[in-house]
Amino acid sequence: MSTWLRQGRALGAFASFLLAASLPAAGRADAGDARAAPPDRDEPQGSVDLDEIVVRVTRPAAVASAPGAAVTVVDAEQYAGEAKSVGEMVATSPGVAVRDYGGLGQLATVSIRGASADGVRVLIDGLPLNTAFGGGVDLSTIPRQWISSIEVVRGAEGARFGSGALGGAVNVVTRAPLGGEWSTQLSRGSFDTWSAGATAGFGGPRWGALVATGWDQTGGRFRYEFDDRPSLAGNPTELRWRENNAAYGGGLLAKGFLRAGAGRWDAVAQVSGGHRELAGSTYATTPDDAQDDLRAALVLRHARSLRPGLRATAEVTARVDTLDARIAPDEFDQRAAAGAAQIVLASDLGALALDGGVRAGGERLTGAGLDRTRSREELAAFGSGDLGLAGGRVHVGVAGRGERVGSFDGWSGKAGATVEATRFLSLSASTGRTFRAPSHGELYLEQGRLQPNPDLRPEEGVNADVAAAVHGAAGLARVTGFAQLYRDLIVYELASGTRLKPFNSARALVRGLEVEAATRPWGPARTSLSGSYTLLRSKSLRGAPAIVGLDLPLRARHRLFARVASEWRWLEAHAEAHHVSSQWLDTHNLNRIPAATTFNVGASWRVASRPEVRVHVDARNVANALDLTERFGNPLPGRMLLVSLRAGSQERIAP
Amino acid sequence: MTKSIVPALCALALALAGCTEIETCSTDELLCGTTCVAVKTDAANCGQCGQACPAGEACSGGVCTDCASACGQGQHCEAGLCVADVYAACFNTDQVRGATAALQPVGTPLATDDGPTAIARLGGRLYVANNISNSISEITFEATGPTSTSGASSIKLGAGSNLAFLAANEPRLYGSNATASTLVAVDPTAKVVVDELPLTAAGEQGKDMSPAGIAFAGGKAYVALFGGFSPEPEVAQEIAVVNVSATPMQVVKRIALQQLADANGFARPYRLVAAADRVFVTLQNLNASYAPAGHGKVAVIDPATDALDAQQPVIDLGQDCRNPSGLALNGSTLWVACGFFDFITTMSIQSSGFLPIDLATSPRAVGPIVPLTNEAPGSLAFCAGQGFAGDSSSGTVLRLDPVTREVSRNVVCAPATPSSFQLVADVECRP
Repeated sequence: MSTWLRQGRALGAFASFLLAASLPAAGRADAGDARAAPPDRDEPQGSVDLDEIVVRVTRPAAVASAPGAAVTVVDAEQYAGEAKSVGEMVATSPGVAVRDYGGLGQLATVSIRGASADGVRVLIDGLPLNTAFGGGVDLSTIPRQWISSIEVVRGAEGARFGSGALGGAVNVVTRAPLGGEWSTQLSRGSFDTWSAGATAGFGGPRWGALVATGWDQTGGRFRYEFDDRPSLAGNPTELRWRENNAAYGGGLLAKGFLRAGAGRWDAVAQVSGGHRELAGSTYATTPDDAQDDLRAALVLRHARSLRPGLRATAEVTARVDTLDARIAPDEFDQRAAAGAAQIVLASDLGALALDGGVRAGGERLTGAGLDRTRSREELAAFGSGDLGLAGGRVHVGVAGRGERVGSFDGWSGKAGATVEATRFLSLSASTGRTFRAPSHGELYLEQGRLQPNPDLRPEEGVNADVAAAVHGAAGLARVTGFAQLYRDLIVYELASGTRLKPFNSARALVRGLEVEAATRPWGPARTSLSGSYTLLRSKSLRGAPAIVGLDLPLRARHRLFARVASEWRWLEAHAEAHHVSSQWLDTHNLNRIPAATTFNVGASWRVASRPEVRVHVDARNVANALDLTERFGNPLPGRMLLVSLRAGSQERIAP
Repeated sequence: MTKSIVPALCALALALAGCTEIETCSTDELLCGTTCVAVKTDAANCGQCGQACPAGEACSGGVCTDCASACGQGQHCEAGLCVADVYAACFNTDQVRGATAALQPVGTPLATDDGPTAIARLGGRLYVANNISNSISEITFEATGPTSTSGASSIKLGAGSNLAFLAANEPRLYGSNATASTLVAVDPTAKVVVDELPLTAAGEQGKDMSPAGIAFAGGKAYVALFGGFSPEPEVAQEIAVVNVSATPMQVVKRIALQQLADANGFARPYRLVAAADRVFVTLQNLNASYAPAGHGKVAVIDPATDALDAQQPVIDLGQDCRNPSGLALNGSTLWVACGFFDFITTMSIQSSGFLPIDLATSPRAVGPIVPLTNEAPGSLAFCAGQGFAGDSSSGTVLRLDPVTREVSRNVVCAPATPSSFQLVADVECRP
């Protein structure tokens, strides 16, 4: 095994954190610049020396390079072979709460810095996945086998990611098309869970291609504790089976690049879909409910150097989403089709880098509950600048974006600075502002008790961050303090007896600390520690007098993720703890969801080297806590075992 | 008396009386005989057991007080307590607000927990069901006015939410836990849940009953099973008849109502009242979008047989009354609050008003509606010959004079913001 690969797993978290904590790199690109292919050779690469080990990392993501940005890059490949969903990978980042509506392939949405799922932009290779229907993006619809890394960007990031990123953004980066690289995996686990995936890369320096497939399925049947008299203290619970909870889904990803003359072409095509049974609540089970989802997307991009220091990129994207649900006795369907074109000019003037562009697109929606076909256009003009001073030890950046989303106009801005104070210490600060246009669901969708409100206004988010990062031979640590203000938040209120209608009636302040740290591997077992901690204090600023000043519901004050990993010859092992403190279910802070701590352990054995073949055993929720619940009080699965067989190439052929 | 001593004395008193159960009185209460008494506010036991205040005086802080002079403007002295004529549950701002019979707001708003949705009177106190926080707030009256409990001092009904209704049947409160599909019995003195009854039958595990209104007749509770988001005609859309005298409570019968709904509609039984030897149930008769599927209806149940009335099982309320909600008795006339607020398509109030049903005639006859154009009342109560109703979206409380058929109105529950809805979820008036 090459040094790169041998150290890669043990150092995964370490290298990931380096990406986030490193000083701004000179390379710049717009966030919409999908990382569909490896970077050009002439673009700078990050490189970190750790004793005799050299960890080569690709250049940080565009936003990671923005001065003052609060970014964590989760290395998905370090979790290969583990029973970790996309949501669980995202949840290893500070500042993030993943709401898991049942586990095992069921709906999972992400909240950053207390924002709702609607207030987080989720992208895959720069392609926005949020639809105008609203409700956030279901992370479980993204095949995990495709993923190379996940960039979690915290703060009001509309200037770079577009409106809607009130709390932040999550950009899923798929594997790069590296010629000669291949991998395959087959897993079998508890609850009749199966998983399979394969990737293959082709090509060389001038062209490259990648094909990746993934498939996950689960029977979803697990035992949980049921209380048929939940108001009666001391009532004994009984064990019941969670039924109608199966899920399966998969996808195919194809991407490639071609260098021709002074330009480069990139293309990404993806299709994914699945079927999911909907178990309902434990008190109101829905044995006949299910849904099917399908997503197809295409990205075409051409980048060309117009002259030294000036580069143009043109991009066209298209995406189709379908959702068919049976909520007995009715059936619902939703169709969304979106497309956009974008042109970006980027100039490198030495210490000063500038870029700017325009984007035009639109989305068309049909579905049950909409009175008619709805569409809305999206127009945006954006730009940013990054000035390097003091020999590159100081970076100051600004970014702005003006947008029209349907009938809503708004702007987003970001300003930040990073100072390399000493060789071991860097300091940064940033502030941002953005907005979120109401979704079509909130504006027009009428579905059962949920009623629309066409008079809604956009939500607004403003943040301020300060951060300090310490990096040395022993490891890295970064602490970020933040304050985030949300205005005109849209919340559903009961109206006319039994129906709910949304209003811009809430305002909230969220403050806190985000801590992330990783050590370098040490000792003969090459042991490393990594983790993240989030302190999140939320406060309602508007509403009934009794709730003003109280915590927002479903915003835990403390979240902790810790992982220890070791590697000794052919054996690797890890253990994790994930703690979420108690949180309130209601705005009055009366009904408490108890704190939950789960433990995961796993190990893998290398049984062959050429090609590398590994056997993984992973256990999730090893304490077999059967009383874990999601936000609606519905149960989450107990202990899960997963055995995986992985094989893959050992050498990467750089393009 | 300190909190730690009171339980000990209660236990001792009970032991001396030969009781096998130990009753624990809460803070500010004393065990008088076998009953815990709030000696700081009880005019019959003011300061200590058996010390009654003179007529017209209230007990405040354990001291007899001249109630008439102590009551603030807009309140009146009643049995030594300062009370308002009407109390309204303001759902969206988490308050109960008092008002005079002329609908002028009285006193300061009484804070409740999240989503006050129903008010029940028991033992001279008001109890407020908080829908979202799944708790019960207690309103006590003193010489200087009422006080309410919220937060840690309210009665908790466990995790989850959706306490849809609350009714009193001496000596207990009964709540509809719509999420868990249970009927909850609460001892308001001990502030604990003493019984909880799943309303699902064998083979119906996981069915969403969404219990709503409750009424009592003949020692039985009649619970409206409103049904969930996507109701199945074969479950819910029924009345559960519960023997509340049994320990534990038992469902003795279920009365089907779905056959009374229009085509493409669900019966959606909502509120009940026991009157004239019958139990009357409003059927909202809604389609899957919670819009009216047809005329509003009232089902008539004979508690002697626990079946639909043989002569007149249902009363069609006509096209002028859709989406009926509350109902209340005034003399021999049953009044029904009707109205649908189409706040999506037409932004209009439809088929709204107060509809009288003469219970003295046979068959029971529906009279002409007292129409409303700007409000869709949901809750309804009658006191001293006047009807009081809460609008479902504007925070307005309405007063109906059943003789002149005139309606007056005033905003008692101010919305949180000018553009927000304000549901007056329930109204309660002094008998």
